[in-house]
Amino acid sequence: MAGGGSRRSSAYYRRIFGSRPPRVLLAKPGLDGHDRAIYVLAQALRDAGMEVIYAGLFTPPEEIVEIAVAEDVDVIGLSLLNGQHMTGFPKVVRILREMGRDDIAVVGGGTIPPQDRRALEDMGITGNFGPGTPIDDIVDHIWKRAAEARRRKLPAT
Amino acid sequence: MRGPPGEPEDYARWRAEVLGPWEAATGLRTRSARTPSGIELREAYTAGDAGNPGMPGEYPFTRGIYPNMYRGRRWTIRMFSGYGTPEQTNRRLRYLVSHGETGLSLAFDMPTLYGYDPDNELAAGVVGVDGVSVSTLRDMEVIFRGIDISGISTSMTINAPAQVLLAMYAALADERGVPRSSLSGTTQTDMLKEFIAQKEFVYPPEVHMRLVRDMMVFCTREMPRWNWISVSGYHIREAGATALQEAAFTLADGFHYVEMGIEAGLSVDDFAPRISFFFDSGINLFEEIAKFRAARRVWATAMRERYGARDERSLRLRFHAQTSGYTLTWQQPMVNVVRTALEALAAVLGGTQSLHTNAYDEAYAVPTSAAAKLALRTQQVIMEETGIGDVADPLGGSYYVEWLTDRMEEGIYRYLDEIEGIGGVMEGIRKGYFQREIARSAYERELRLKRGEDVVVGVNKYREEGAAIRFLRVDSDRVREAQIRRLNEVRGGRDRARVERALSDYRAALERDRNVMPYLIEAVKAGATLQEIMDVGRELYGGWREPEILGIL
Amino acid sequence: MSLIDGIVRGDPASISRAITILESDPGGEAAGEIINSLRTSRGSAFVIGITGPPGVGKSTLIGRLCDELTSRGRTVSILAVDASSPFSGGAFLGNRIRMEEQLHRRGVFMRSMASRGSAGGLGESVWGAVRVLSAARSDYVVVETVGAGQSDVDVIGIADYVLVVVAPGFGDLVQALKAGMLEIADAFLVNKSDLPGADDLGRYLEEISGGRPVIMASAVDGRGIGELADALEAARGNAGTMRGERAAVAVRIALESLLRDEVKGLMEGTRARRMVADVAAGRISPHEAAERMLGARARENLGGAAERGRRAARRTHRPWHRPARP
Repeated sequence: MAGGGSRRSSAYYRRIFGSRPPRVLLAKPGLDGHDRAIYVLAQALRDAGMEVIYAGLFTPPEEIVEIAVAEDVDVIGLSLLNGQHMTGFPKVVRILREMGRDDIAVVGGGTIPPQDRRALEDMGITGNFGPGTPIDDIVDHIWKRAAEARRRKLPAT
Repeated sequence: MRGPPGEPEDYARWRAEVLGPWEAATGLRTRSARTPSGIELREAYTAGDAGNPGMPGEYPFTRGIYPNMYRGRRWTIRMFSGYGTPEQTNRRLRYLVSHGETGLSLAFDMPTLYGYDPDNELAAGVVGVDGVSVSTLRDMEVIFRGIDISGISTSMTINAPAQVLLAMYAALADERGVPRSSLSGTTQTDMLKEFIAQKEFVYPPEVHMRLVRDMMVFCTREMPRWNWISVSGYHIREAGATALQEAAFTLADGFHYVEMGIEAGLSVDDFAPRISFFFDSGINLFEEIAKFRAARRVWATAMRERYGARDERSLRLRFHAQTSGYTLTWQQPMVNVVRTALEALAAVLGGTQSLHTNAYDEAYAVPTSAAAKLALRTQQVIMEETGIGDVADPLGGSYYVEWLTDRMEEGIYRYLDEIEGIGGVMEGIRKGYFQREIARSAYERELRLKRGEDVVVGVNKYREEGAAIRFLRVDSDRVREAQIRRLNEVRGGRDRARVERALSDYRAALERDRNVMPYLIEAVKAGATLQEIMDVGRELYGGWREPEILGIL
Repeated sequence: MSLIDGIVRGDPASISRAITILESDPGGEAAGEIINSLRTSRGSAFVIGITGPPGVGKSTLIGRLCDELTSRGRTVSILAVDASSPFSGGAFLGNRIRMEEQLHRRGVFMRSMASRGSAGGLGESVWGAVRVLSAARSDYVVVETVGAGQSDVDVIGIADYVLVVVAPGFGDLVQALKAGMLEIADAFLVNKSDLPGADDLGRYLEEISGGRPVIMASAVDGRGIGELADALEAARGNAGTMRGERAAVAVRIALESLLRDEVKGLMEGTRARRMVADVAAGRISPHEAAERMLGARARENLGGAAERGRRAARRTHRPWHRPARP
């Protein structure tokens, strides 16, 4: 399998992740029940060797961050297809920042128009993939951001 | 009567005498092919494959529910619309009516769909975005200003708070002196598919089922022309199900509602005629057509044999179709016009009663007027220029279509057996059975796209760099402000005591298992808001969290 | 605030960070420091192992149990154990329990753990997490597993109190539970006890339980939860004796893990390659090869070999600079 599989066996990533695979929290911070993308991405990430946690539908931003911290995730993946991304996504980033958890990377996805994409990136939310994005592109991007996040977290204490 | 399973003699002969030598001589190996649902296809089908599918308008209605189909009654061009404020929606509705639309269809925004008022914190950013914002009877009055509701049918895509919106429509009719019994239209109301796919639920499943039951009983008695439910497969399909799963799960849901009606003490022929369906129309032309035909056959057969329906209207599966939103791409969006046209063709060849065609820019927002108009014209071209409507079930007797219809029918029965085996639809929902099947199918599709086995033009083949198209941006904050203003006006102008009384009566009806509809009608007339009403249920029953879907994938 | 301070104060970020350190590098310096610093902290969580086949309703049960215990003034944490995919090494974690919204409202700390293919490693991780959560004054730690693998038996063996959950209609009970689970159970709970067959199941369990409690419950209605909480509170009072047994299990698991590392180290050398070639050529038997290798090793320091094995398994982090991309 291309993409994730070969990535996982590369020495570079083994060095960064060691015995603890990338850990990703997927969440939908808004009034949106479209979860097809979440389930497809979750399976792809699992098959690429990552540990996947899904916060469930309609999870408030505070709770998303709480889970991310308790589970010590590398990446939070946020998805909204109802146009509410400019409300929900920034809130998650704001709370992470307040808690001093800038080490956790945030990746976005959904029906996000180009101008919003730029605004989100300025906040540190990358990716912002729309429907129809090849799944490998998303997985690769998450690998990259997880590696950056993991490096930020070490050394310990 | 079905055709035989397995390979008929004339195919075997042809393969030995014609296909085989051809492949040997040209070196052109036949590549294998299967439908997206996984049905293996042969290179060609023969007379030996097709059974006898009967005639249109005759049980089991494989070939169509009416004898003369579109010659007798054209399908309804019903375009899903609604966004922003009630005023904006009113304008759009009148625009479409003036351009030939024959039935109204309302889309609601997220807060409305989930039973929240526009001033709720959760509504921030989404008021009026994917549909119209409604929280009081006043909003409905504005939406239908200048529209004669006795002369047109109205479809409302609403589920968790369907009973409230229906109450508003009935109240509106009362205000205008239109008899409830003359009201024609649909509320989607299909909560089973919400738990399975669309996830627009508020309360636990049993609570919603009770509210659906109340709507069913109320409409059967007081609004006989109202389709109180549109059992939907569209959302199940869009969530990732195959066409086969879409048909099977939707029919399973339909049968569950039938059982609910019987349990409620209604006679099946009293309420079944008003059960309507809503299917997806996808891009694999023949699988879609076979799906529609197989669904009709299974429904009719079960209704007669299993549920004892006698009235022909109970046996006829009437449906609305929508071209598939999932197949739309934002890359090279004009290509979507082609996709939509082909999907509309499939629905018409499949015998739909009503059709919505997607606009080419609908992939990521509510469509622009121009794009919506083109989608409307797409149907009109099919209707007026192609001649397809001149003959009922023109593909009837096609060896391939009849064979594929039989295979779809078999597949549907396999799923129905499996669902019964796990304890029925409600058990399936609680166990996550449907949700898991859908998630798996969605992932398998993604893997096929990745491997190039499935092609989407412009996405994983024939790609181009292109300019992003301009699309309609709803200024949600402005809509929200306007709606909150109106909300406050209504709150200011109502009789507080009447509202409180109405809400507490509604609560008592819930607790004592009385039909809630009359209490809801009174509540909306008193000026209670959607959220105030929905909160009564929240207090009593709480919410619902999905079972785990991923762990066993 | 140092990490240790944070843990003792119950700061979720500190607890989480410490658990990560302990699970990713249990033999490392940072881990050693943490364990050392926590030695003196008071607080000893009572570990409840909850296991049973999928579908019996464990997550609902845990949600209700958390409710009950927190309403009795206890703090509860949850460790949810899931199996990693043997193909990809990835995993879906803990979603089933997270579906219970009570967790957030009640301030329950929940952490998911994947088996990551190593029974010993998992046992160590759970042990480390329990240490941290104890120091954070969690009264109870619920460790939940599906009960399907040998590693689950090992993990559950660390618990002070093992609850095996079953429900009517889940096939042959004995088959459904991994061998060993029935033996180590301290109590049984029959969930969905309103369904037919529940009474028979309860009676069967009473026969084989030899006096251990059999609780009839319906988690979704809240029935039996109070009884379970009572049993747990009582057992927690008598925790002293159980602690010793739990420690023995944990030590055994750690030994097995160290020995596994040693085997890995042995298999990496030139001597191993020669031995393997000899076996392949039919010159000696595998058993003979193993004895020779062990014999040679016995002349060296056992701990040194284990350390070599561990270093072979671990990649130390170097300070960040952009390496060439592979």
